[in-house]
Amino acid sequence: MPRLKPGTRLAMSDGRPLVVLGFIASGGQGEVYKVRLENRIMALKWYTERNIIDNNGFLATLRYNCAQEPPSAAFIWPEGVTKRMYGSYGYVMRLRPETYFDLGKFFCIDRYPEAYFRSWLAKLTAALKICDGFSRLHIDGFSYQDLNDGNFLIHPVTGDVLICDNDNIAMDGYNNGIGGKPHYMAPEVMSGKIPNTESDRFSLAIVLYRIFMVDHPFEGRTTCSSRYVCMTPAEEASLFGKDAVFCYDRIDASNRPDERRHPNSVKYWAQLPESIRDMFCRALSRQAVRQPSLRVKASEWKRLLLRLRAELVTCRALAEDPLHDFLVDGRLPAVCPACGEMYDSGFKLRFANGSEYRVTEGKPLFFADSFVPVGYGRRISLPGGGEALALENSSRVPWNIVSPKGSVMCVEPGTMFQLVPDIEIIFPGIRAKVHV
Amino acid sequence: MALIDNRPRRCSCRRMNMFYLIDTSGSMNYNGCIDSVNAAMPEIVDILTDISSSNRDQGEIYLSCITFGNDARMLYDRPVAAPDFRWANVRAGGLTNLEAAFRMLESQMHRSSGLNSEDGHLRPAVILMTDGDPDDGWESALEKLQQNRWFREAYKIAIAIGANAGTKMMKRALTKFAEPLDAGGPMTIINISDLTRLHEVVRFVSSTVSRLGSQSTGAARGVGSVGEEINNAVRREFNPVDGVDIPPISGDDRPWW
Repeated sequence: MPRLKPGTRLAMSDGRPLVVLGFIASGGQGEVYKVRLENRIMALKWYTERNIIDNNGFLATLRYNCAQEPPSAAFIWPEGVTKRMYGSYGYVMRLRPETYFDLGKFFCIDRYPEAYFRSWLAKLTAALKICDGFSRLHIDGFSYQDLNDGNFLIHPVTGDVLICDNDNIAMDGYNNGIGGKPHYMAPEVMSGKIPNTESDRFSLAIVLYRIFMVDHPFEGRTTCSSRYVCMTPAEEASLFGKDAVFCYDRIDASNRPDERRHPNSVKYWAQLPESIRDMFCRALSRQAVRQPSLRVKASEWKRLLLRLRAELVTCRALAEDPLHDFLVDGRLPAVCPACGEMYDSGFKLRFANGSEYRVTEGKPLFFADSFVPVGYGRRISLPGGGEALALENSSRVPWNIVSPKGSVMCVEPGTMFQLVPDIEIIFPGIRAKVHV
Repeated sequence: MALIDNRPRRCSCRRMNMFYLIDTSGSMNYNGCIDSVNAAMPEIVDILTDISSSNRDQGEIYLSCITFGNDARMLYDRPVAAPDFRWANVRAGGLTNLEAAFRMLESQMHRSSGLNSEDGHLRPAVILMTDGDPDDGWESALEKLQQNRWFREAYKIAIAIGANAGTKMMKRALTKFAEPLDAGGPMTIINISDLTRLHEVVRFVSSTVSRLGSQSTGAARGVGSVGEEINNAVRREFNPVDGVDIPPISGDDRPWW
């Protein structure tokens, strides 16, 4: 039964009154309520876990975090702490949108049929946003400390991410009593060490694997063998901690996914390009499990994911299906790996800074590491019959295009132009040439 | 031709089974004990549903309830996932046939019956709630139960209801039942003399054991210490409130309180 009833009056530490409107959910550390603070409807996390209620260090860190700016807009940041009342305290934050799902729900499609990524681009976007957030957090000198599938709210269509439970964040090297969630905790944290950026990297690799593959990277034939039919905490700590074997480990094949029990790992791994497979193999290798310094940084993941986003190809034949696009890495496959049909590989924009971006039908165009699309690949009908690929300007500023013969045309926002080899596009601040 | 479905499948998830053994003997009518149980159980189901949903791929919680009076009965004939479990109020009357409850529990703790998930299991938990001396026969049933591997591994929590509950026989039954066996750690026996807190304690214990059991951190806590954590959590939550206690277990026959 929720501890706070609707109508309960609380106060922020600065004295502003707060009224409880209703109960939302409960979790490991406390309960979440909908509240009114002045004219804003917000969420209140109210602690019920005695270890936290009595932990003055935790409260001090929480107050400190409230005074800081969030590392990025993706963080649902604590905005203020309440006074101690009714034997506990809590903090307020903005409400979670209802169209987003906890990452954990993406693993339970039987209970949450809408919680699945609609495209590889959505998966890439989610992974990129998480890496972007953690890369900034780590640069700012913080570690998240309790990184797991419960910390992310994700939009299944766009891949947009909101990072929650930011009350656990602490300066790197300092711990406020938070340990982490099993199956995501680094082995050294399991054995009592303080979580830090390196343990965050261990958890991050698992979260990223699950975004792309859904199943857990350490689940395989060993973990589901009859030997572990009643898995004890000691076995769990070993198989998901210090003795964890990545199911696609390059050297140790003992824990390969089982087709019946880990169908997602089997299916999606086959659709992954080599570069990201290599990264998972490195990030989840026995060495990286045991030696924290060998773990892959959020910024390294981000670089790879940006490259994959630039290379991503949409497949027209799959337009009505989930995952109507696919990831490529350098060499294009002859047929779409998902449907086996021929596909249109579109055009490449080669930017003056050396980077490239593939444009295909329906695919958004992003600059560098931005998450705001400035254009979209569109299929247009040609006056003389037939179809061609065009690029729509969905930004707020006009672009210019220069034909190979030197004529210049302005592309106003909301309009599009046919992509043909060798034309040059002059975007604000950067030029790109169109290639096959 | 496009693939028909590139959607993910559900992830395999181990089950954590929670078995409740609930005394429905006539004495449970006194002081509203059975009403407290009836009020607490639907809330417990909600809490377990919450815990299970937030942690489903690691440990999906399944419930079984065995009530015992003149005989033992199961609310469902097999364990049911927490979100699908519907509590039906029980009435108190009759004897305290703990023997039948132990035998029924034993029959459920097999791969061929109640513990048959293809994805495997986590350690189960068994919560026994009783307010009086069990009838004869419980010892041989418990001995058989203690041979069962699942029971040996299970977290076992005994809740003694009522200030008059500390008789010699009851103490023996609960102490023997709560032996951790292969689960390790200390015994968890909780005495509730303030019956107004029964509802709250049962809810708290259920939530704590299911959370710890389904999200176990093993080495992080020191393997086998779930019992210790439950005991600590109960002490933190309810002490120094009068009426809820974890009595020290000693070898003599003095009442605990």
